[in-house]
Amino acid sequence: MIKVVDLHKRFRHLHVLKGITNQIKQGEVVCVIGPSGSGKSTFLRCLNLLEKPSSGHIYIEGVDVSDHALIDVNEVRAEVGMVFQRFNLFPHKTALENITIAPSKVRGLSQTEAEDRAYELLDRVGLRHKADVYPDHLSGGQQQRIAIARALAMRPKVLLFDEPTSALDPEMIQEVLDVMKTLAHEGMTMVVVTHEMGFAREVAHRVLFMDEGEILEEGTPTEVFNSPKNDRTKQFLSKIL
Amino acid sequence: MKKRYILAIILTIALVLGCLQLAWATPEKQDAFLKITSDPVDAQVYLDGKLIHKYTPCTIRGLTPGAHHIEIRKSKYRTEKRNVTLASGENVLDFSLAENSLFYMWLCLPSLLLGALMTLFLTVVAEFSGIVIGTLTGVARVINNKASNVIAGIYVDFIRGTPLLVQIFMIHFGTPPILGAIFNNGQPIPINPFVSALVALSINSGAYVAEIVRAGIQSIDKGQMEAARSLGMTYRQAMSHIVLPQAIKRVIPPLGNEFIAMLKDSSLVSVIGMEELVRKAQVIVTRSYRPTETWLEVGLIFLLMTIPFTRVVARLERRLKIND
Repeated sequence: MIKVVDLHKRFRHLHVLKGITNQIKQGEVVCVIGPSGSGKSTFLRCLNLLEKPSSGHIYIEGVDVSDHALIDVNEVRAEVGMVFQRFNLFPHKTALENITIAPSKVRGLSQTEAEDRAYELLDRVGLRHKADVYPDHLSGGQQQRIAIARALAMRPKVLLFDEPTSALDPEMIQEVLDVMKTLAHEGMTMVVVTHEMGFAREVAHRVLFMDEGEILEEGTPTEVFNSPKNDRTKQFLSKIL
Repeated sequence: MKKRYILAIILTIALVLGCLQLAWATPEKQDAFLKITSDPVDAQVYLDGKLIHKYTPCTIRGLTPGAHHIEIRKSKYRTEKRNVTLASGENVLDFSLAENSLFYMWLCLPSLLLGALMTLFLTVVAEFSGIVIGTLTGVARVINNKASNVIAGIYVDFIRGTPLLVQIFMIHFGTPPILGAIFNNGQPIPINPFVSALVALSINSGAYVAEIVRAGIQSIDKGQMEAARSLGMTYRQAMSHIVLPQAIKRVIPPLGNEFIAMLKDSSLVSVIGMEELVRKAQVIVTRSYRPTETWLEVGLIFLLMTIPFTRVVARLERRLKIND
């Protein structure tokens, strides 16, 4: 599904990603963990083409998308959904409009089709009754669930989560994680950057530990959490678990 | 004793003689003549509805004594009517303007209001085209295109870095030779002050609006653009559906302030003879020699125009803050 080969990313003098190589299969849930500043988010943003790789290759369904000049960036992004740490809902649009705008503008769906799809998704995240509410009047957890519905409305092949619960109050984290769990069980391909180790342990098929721009360790949650091989992984896990 | 009698007799005689003298001197009924003065001078005199003299001061002879209707028409100021009874001989009438400052200001008001209307019109039209120019320029400054960034940047820096007065002169006096060289075999084509005033004000406000629009767009969280792009929207779609609608909301209050600034700055076009509020006042002062009241009145009229707008902008600011 997604294949990353020797991916490098530099911001001027800062070498953020130092040769990432990995492969994500259809239907797989991959959790990326690691200390802040380790390049997790940049990695994710490269997958969504929000950042241009400095070198290396990213293949999405066999197509090399690493050179943005050669591909239709928008077409690729439409297939790769993204959920942000700070939700980034459109404040001037209602929850429903937030969900319908991309399908109708990008996919060319009619208003009724887009709305049908949106209501279906609102049901899935349990917020049908908030359809006509503006984001400012929603709690953080509700906003993030709408953001997930918004990403899903494009029917993406992969969904990327960039620390989706880090900006939430503790009592709202669970409702978002529940939605993500359902998605995972339905067979959605997901890459999740998270600090929620419980979620990673329970849902992930594979866990990647990143530090200083490299994947230092990967394996099933049990392998990584229970018997980490790398010293840095051990150090990191001992601090947060 | 005797001396007293003599004095009384002399006085009595003098009194009688005086009375006689008065009786003697009383002339027979004769024509009346009328001296008319007025300030300001140069008023037309109408007697019983007929124009009898074209300017004041004057003396009109050969009038029949009795009741008359006199009308004095002072150009631009007012017409004054009076019913008078003329006696035989000399009559003097003065039609000077009231010295009262308030009354003088009242007399100036129609002319000044006409100028204020022109000021308002200039401001509204300039601001409107300024918004069109400014929005295009503001967007040109932020989009991902070096050439348009640079061109828009030069325009904005040039306009904001030079005085409006200089810009007005450049357009009104600087462009006719250029236009002439291109279209008229080197013979300068003069520009109507109204046209050059509008062009100068529009170009000027365009640059300021461009900065407001640019700031508005850049104040929108980058995450908005990223979220829109991550959904597969093109840059243009993200701009027009997501970023600009949010930016417009933030831009409205500073645009109101720009409008107020333009209302005041538009007074500068008086230097090229545009008949707006300030120019009208200058004309009045040269005629009436009363600068104190005239300029005070101009200031009050400007205040009257700006204060409502200031209030509206303040209210808008408050309301938009609540929605944010």
